[in-house]
Amino acid sequence: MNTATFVGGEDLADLIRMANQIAAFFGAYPEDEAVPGIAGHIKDFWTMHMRRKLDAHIRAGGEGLDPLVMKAWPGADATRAA
Amino acid sequence: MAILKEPDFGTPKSKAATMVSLEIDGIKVSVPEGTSVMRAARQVGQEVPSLCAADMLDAWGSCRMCLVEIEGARGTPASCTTPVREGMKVKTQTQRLEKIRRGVMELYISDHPLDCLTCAANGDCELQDTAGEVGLRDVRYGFEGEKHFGAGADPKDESNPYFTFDSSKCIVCSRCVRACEEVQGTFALTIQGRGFDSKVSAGIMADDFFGSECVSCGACVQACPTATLREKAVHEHGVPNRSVLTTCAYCGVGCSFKAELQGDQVIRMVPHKDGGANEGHSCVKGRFAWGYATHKDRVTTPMIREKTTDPWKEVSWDEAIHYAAQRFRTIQEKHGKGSIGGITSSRCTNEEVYAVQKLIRAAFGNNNVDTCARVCHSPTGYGLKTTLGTSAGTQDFKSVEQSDVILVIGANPTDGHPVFASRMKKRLREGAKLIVADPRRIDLVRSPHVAASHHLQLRPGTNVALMNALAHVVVTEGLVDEAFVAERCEAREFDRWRTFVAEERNSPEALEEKTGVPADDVRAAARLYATGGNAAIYYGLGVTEHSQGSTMVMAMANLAMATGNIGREGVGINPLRGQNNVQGSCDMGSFPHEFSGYRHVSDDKVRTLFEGDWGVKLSPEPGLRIPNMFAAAVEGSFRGLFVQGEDIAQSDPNTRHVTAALEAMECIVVQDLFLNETAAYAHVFFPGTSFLEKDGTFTNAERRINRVRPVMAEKNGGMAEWDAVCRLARAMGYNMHYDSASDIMDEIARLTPTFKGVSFARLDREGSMQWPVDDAAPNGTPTMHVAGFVRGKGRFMITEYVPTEERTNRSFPLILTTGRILSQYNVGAQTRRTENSRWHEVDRLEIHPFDAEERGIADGDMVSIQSRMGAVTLPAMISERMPQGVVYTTFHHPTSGSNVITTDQSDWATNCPEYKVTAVQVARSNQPSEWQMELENLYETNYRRAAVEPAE
Ligand code: SF4
Ligand code: SF4
Ligand code: SF4
Ligand code: FES
Repeated sequence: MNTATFVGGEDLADLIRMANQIAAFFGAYPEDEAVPGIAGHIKDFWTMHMRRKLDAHIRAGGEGLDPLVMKAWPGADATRAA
Repeated sequence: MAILKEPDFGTPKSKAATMVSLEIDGIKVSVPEGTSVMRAARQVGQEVPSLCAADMLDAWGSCRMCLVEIEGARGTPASCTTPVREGMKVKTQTQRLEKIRRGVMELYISDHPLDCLTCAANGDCELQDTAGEVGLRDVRYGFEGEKHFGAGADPKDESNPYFTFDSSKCIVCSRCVRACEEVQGTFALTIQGRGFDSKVSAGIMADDFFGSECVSCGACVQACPTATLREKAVHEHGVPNRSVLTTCAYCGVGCSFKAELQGDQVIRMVPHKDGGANEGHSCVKGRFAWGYATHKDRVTTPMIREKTTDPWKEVSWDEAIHYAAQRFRTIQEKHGKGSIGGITSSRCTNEEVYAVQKLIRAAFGNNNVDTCARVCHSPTGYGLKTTLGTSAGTQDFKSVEQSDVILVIGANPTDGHPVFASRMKKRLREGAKLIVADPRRIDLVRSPHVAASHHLQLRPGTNVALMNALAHVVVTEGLVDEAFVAERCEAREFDRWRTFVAEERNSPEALEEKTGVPADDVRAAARLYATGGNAAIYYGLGVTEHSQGSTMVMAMANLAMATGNIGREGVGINPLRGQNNVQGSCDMGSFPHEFSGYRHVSDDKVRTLFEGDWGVKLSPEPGLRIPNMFAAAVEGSFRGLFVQGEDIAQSDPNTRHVTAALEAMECIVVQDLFLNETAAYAHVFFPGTSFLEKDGTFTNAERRINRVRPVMAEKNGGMAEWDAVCRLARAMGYNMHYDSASDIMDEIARLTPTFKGVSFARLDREGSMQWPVDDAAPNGTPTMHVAGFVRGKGRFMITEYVPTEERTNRSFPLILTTGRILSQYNVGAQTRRTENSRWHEVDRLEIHPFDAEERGIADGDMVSIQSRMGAVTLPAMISERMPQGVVYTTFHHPTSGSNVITTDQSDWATNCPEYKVTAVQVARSNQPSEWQMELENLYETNYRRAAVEPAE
């Protein structure tokens, strides 16, 4: 595995805030569009490290996260073949 | 080239479509209706002499030098004020005319000192030339008793740092006065007195230029036909003898200049009339503030050091490059490929930026590249791409000449983008209407002969609410351009948006409390925008630097689409970009998720294209953005950084976090002109090149690719910045090589569809081009989205207003917002090293009189500004421009440290930091903040340089 993709050090609190901000934007849309919107945005812009870190948090219950982020998550976490 | 004298046709070009044919001295000529006889004559090479005419100015008709004879007409009319007529027969040279002209000239000269040989303008004076042209040989009137020169003359006004005013040489042609009014729009000059006693004066109140309203744009100096207004550098060094065409390196207007030199010494920078962005105008920065390029603080030798507390050691280029490569490699071996990265600069050329992002992607082997544009205009790219399909503004600057309504949001063009502001003001004086949305009463709201119809003085952080309210009025009052929307936009998205903004909670009345803007004003402004003719939006960092920056950009696009204000001249959505090459650095693939031309790194087709060309495997994963880099550095996984020409320690938000990150890194390489704030944390310093040494291109806010040409050899030992970057790549094991900057552009064109037709050869031939330059638009694209949107159909986005989490409360009751001023540029590394500092010696905190009084603050008192993040101390300036509850400062001086107090909040989509909204408390104080004291210590330790041994 390429360790390169794991670099990062965001506070979990920051990631939660950022994910919730993204959800707040897409939340204006019906859920069947908001969910892929959030997933796509996170996948396109977040580093692997950020996605992994939030993933661990979600596995631990995802406290503080907008429910839409939880729903979007499987789509966002998908890693690309490096 | 030799000195470039642009032809002056005497009067402006007529825009009429109808052509008129006439005969001048027997030569047939056909010109647009409304052209002056003078212009027509000069177009066929018949040089009518003139003194008061210039083609940047409207005809004036005062000097009587340009008289001609017209068959069938009585007398000798002035050719500058006489329009052509069909079938006219004009004579420009007859004995009668010769005699009159000589007589007029004699009068001028009798009141003019005859020290031509020792005059600063000798060889570059229209009066002198014209005297020659009319064959003046003797002057019959006496010179005695003149008040205008000799002992009785007014002393020279030397108060402006860059030019002098010597009234003894003035011929009262009023070209300066008209330039200041018509070109610059400042109205600083007047002609005082009458007849023989009349003279030019800088305002009524002021005794001299420096104390007047003058903004030192230089238009009057350029217009003056004599030595009356003249650059001090010309007085000092003499008239220049060669020119090089190049581009200003300050702001996103991207003005074209003639650098006028003697040898390789720049004497002056003169705006170029054929420059697409500026058409012969300039501002104080580009025209005069280039002295930093040769400032003594410039570092011209590479330097290295083991630890940042060690003194710097000067070394050879080879040693510096290998030292950097070896440290970067060691980090990667220990901590993985992704443990290093780099930041590109919006001040550098496209070619230099491209080289750095390639270094990172191909030689570092990751996508950890970002640009300082992150902190200013990243939401523009995101928002416009989502709605319209392209990450750039829609118009050229000239388009404003066709606008009927101009909406300026969160921008202060007269300070930030002065040359564009002059064009805008010209259009406003012609009658276009102005709406300003800004918390602060910027100059444009009320300036000579310009007054905004509406100033929507909104609370910082409520942009999206205001836009939704404007859209609400458009939708509910039936002001939608239904035909445009039906033809050009996605119907379903539009319907949804229409329903959304029509909701009562988005009405101006419902939002009044949040935005602070009276509902009636919002309604009136919306009606004006929607129905006033061609409506154009111009915006700046007051839009983007918010937690909803991207949403706001989309909201503006929505409004423009709904009213059909996109896709032709005079309309559109236009970012006013801060630094000169913000557009270009974004275009060149500076973002961690995109290759050049805004194509995602995960797109296999695109990646394969680059992999094939670069001969290396590339990562499909988005890399770190600047804030990610800092976070990872503090955490310990990110340990090496290449910083190109950017002072991140000073310009990024939350200075303390940034410095902690920089301190944590093992190797920072800085490529810059000066030991900037970031260099205090660096281990390797690559001396950079100033724009006067660069060969390359800049892309301005209108997508215009302009050439930057070297006027002198690189002062850093002859190393082009891209060359140093290539050498570093090679030292790290990746073979990257170019013969020239032009070679790099060829690669960009090969790999970037929107640049397909761009090359240095074409730019040299055609002047400039606006991307996209491709098969569909082989000569470039001044106006975007003409026949359809780049993305196909325009996409309305729902823009829910989400208040920022940065709120005021009892401890932090005021909102701080930030901005910039005319004479200084960004973090000021360049302008602080010029005479421009005289206009702005310190950053100040502007505060409303009521807020000041409540805190016992008087004008000029030192005050502390405390946010949740930190505190700084600045002098206060009491100002009615601020609404109550909002304070304002600039960040041009490092010790002000505005960014010590700004927060971690950022745009949801791009993480562009929220500079524009910080909750603060302000109180009187008499000592510098803790941070300011620490900075003093840092200056003492981290800038030390080892004593240099004499070169062998
Ligand atoms: S420098 Fe510019 S602003 Fe100043 S007087 Fe001349 S034209 Fe006017
Ligand atoms: S200062 Fe120069 S431009 Fe102005 S009136 Fe005198 S001669 Fe003409
Ligand atoms: S407006 Fe901008 S580009 Fe033009 S001269 Fe001024 S700083 Fe330079
Ligand atoms: S140039 Fe025509 S009157 Fe002066």
